[in-house]
Amino acid sequence: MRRVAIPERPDWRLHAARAGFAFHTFDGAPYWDETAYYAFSLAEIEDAIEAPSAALHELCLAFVDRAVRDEAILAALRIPEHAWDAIRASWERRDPSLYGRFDFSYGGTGPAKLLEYNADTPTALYESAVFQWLWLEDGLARGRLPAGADQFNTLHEALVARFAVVAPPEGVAFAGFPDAPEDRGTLAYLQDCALQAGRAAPFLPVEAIGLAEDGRFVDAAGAPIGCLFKLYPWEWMFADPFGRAVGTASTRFLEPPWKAVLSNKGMLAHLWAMAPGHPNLLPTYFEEDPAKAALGRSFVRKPLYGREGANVLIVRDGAVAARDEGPYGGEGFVRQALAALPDFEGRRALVGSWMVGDRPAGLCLRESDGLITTDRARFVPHLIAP
Amino acid sequence: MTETAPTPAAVGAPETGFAAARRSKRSAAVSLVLVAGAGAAALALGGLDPSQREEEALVYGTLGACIAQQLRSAEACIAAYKTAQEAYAATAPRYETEADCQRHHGTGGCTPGGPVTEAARGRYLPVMAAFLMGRTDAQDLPVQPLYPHAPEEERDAAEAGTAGHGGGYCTGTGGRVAYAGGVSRVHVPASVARTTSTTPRTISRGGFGGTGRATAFSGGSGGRTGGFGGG
Repeated sequence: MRRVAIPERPDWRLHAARAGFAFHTFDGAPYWDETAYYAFSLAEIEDAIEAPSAALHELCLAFVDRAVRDEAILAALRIPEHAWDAIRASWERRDPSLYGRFDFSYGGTGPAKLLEYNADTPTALYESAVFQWLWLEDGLARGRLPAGADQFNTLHEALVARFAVVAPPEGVAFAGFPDAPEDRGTLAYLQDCALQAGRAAPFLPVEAIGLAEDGRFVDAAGAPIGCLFKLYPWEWMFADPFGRAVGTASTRFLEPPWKAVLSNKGMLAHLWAMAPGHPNLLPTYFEEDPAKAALGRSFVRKPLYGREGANVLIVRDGAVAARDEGPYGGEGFVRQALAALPDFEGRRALVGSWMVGDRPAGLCLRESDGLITTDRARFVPHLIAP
Repeated sequence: MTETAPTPAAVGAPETGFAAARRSKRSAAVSLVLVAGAGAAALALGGLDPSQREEEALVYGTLGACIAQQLRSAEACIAAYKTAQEAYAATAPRYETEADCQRHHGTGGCTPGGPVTEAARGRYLPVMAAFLMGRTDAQDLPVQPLYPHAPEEERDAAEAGTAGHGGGYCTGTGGRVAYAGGVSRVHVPASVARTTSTTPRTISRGGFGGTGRATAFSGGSGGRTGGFGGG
């Protein structure tokens, strides 16, 4: 795994506009950054990332199977009691999942270490599946990238194929906040994939979702929603007034309610307890667990619910090495062994490993200047060296 | 209400030459039907279902219009109108507030429920703007009252010039009936034409999103997304 600096294409913004990539810059700062790329060997991709992702996903499913039958686990994850039936029922029906993203600390040496599983509402999907792919094809066509270079990125094909399996014939409604451009972009891309799978795919503002008195969720026009994709996390759904209706509604969800068990950082402590010493897992404990002392004076404290690095605290040798403020943490924390992100000339790279259904489907790299990957991180493309 | 299935536009073609000979770990082609070009605004217009079967039906705003057009007998018009009026009182959607009702049926599209039926006193109903009946008796289509269809977010899209979707009507179960005005003959998806409501529906809104708004906007990270759903 190498970081290769390369001049950006002078016309990449034009390419972005043509491909519908509207959120490549934020507040004048680049989000899409092609002044470098990461080059992997095929063995690094297949042995260090792809195979462990598939194995970890299986372990995660085994944990869900255990969690839905053990109320002590659901309580430890701070999932509200009124949500338990919905979670349990969705797992017993084997409601299918669409996608997820593992985040790893990996720098090309030693096993990749799982930092968290964005199993419910991962973003960075469009730029991974489409614009990163276009970057490679364009770079190969112009001779800017090594001839014969490849990319671990079957996301687009996998998503279209997955929608054909998981979306009911009448289609899927896609809910999110209409005024969040990046979320809107992610949703637009998923709508596109669903359409290509032959399904109707209307957008629905999350606040326009209605609840009819017969217990069904309905769209803005009052029509029942058979299947709802929501780019809105389960812990917020469950905390909202309609959260109590999820279990009794006939509406099916993408991601299904059982994903709430996996998108929770408390899951990491349970995985470690289920498979202590697993090469791809980091020792992790609930903050209330005295066993956390085993981590000593270097660790990362993460809120059970939280996203994009918010409220993460990194302690190294007893001193605060980094922290990010935010609105999370009210439900508690876990403490994870510190696996500092690899340093590439002062930039910290985070490897995201995509899952579509139960299969690994591609990679995304995000770079930060600090130890914590936040929503200011830059998306840097990757390739597999020939 | 016919819509044409989109043709995928290839935004990138697979590498030619030896592409087929080697094992690849990336998609062979990436095509976009919505995201490229038109932009995400066009997506608010709703989905497509090329497989959906349609029924030919008639839409009239008044009993007189039905009789005058003579596509159906006067007796059939009178019977249909009467059925629609009864169904209206018994099954029209009920809303807790006038604002709630207007969000879906437009300003001027709503009325207090009390004068329509005692059971709806204190609630708000959409007005019965028209009724729907079959083109022929043989179709055996149920007669349905129709309501103004003007959900807030589509009105916004129309004002922004991105929508070609002119209001139209909806049924009591929320199915859409596209109606350009003046033309009584319409094509309606069978699932809409044959689904009727037997009980009035009370729909509450706004029960999702509050936690996200409160969390996202209080967030200190101030990044690209404003802290919304992503991870």
